[in-house]
Amino acid sequence: MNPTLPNKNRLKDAVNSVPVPDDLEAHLRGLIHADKLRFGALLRWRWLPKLVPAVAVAAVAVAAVSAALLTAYQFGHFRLTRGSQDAYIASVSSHLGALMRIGLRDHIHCSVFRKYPKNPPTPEEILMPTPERGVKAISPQYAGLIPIVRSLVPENYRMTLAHQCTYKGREFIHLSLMDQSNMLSLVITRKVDGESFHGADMLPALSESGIPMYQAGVQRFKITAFETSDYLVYFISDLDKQRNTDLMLALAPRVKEFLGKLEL
Amino acid sequence: MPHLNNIFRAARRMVGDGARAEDVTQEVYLQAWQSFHRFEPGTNCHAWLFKILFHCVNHDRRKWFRFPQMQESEVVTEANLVQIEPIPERLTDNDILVALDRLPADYRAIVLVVDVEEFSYREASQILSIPLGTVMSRLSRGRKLLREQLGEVARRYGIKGAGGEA
Repeated sequence: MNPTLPNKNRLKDAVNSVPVPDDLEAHLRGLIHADKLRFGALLRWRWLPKLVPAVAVAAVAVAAVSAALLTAYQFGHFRLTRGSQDAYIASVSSHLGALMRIGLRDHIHCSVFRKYPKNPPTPEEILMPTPERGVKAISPQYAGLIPIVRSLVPENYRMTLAHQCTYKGREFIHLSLMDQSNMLSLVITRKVDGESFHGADMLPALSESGIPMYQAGVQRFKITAFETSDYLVYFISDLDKQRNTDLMLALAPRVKEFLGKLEL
Repeated sequence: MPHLNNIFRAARRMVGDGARAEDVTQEVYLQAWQSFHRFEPGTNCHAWLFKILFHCVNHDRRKWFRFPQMQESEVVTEANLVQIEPIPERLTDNDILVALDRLPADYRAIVLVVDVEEFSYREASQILSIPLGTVMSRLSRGRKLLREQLGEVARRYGIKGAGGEA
């Protein structure tokens, strides 16, 4: 005991009087060095767990994008080459009868694979010649279809093209419309070699104003068609069957009347 | 190695045995080394090591004993928080250590942290993971018990003014 120390430090002095083993520090350094070798490897990777959530989110995002791309590819989007587009058209339309196939092919060829500008063309622009091969502006002979379609289709559908095109050696009059989520086409082609829905032993699904109508569907596409003496007329959309039918029922009498005048 | 002597001596007082104190000290520095990335430079390394120490001590105590948990009133007045009573100078270091070791562990811990290591109440609260009010009530009670222990020893020695008379 050191009698000169003040009382207030006596407790501290007593605790600090306990000797510390001489080899304790050396022993500890040895332990830490050994642990450094073992733990060092783990230490280098200790940031890895922090990456796990980010990796999981990235994996989910990649899987979602892959699934979306695959679905889009299966639905015909991202078919960038002419060959793959034709292969898609052939695979989809192969499930249909020969006459229904005709209209669907042109719809997919012109409407599905086309990249549309953000702003729809004005009525004047839509009549202007197009530089695309196999496509020409709608002729004055058929231009009267445009106001008919505009007047009968709901206003939220904007007309994105009205042209005459050729696909697989066949000429079509094609009017295409779209809203935020759906695309629809009126596709008209002249009959070749006596083509007829009736002659192809097809049964009409319904009749409007005495016009027999034929229906088919494949994937997301719904088709309602009728014929005149010289033309096959298709209304193709990715609407549900009822809405597709309703629109064709509205269009058919006026379109038939218009084409009938050309046939005189 | 920083604060090694303080850590060992505090461990020695808390576990009561030299060999176990060495084991606990080793554990403290190994844990400190392995979790050094969590230490914020500029903060109190002394307090950080003591927090690890008491974590290891508690783990050691749970391993060896089943101590009943202390229950005490959180109510404490500043008047109770007087400094430790003057210790009669004729008491030996061993007398003081024996008296300290007789305190229940939770009181011994707070006396070591505040009166020996001179941490603030707030630091003691963080080191021992107890509320500030508990720090003050345990410290008051711990000092009182220590004073009583030392007073008893001093009376046995025939020292005047010992214990309650000091």
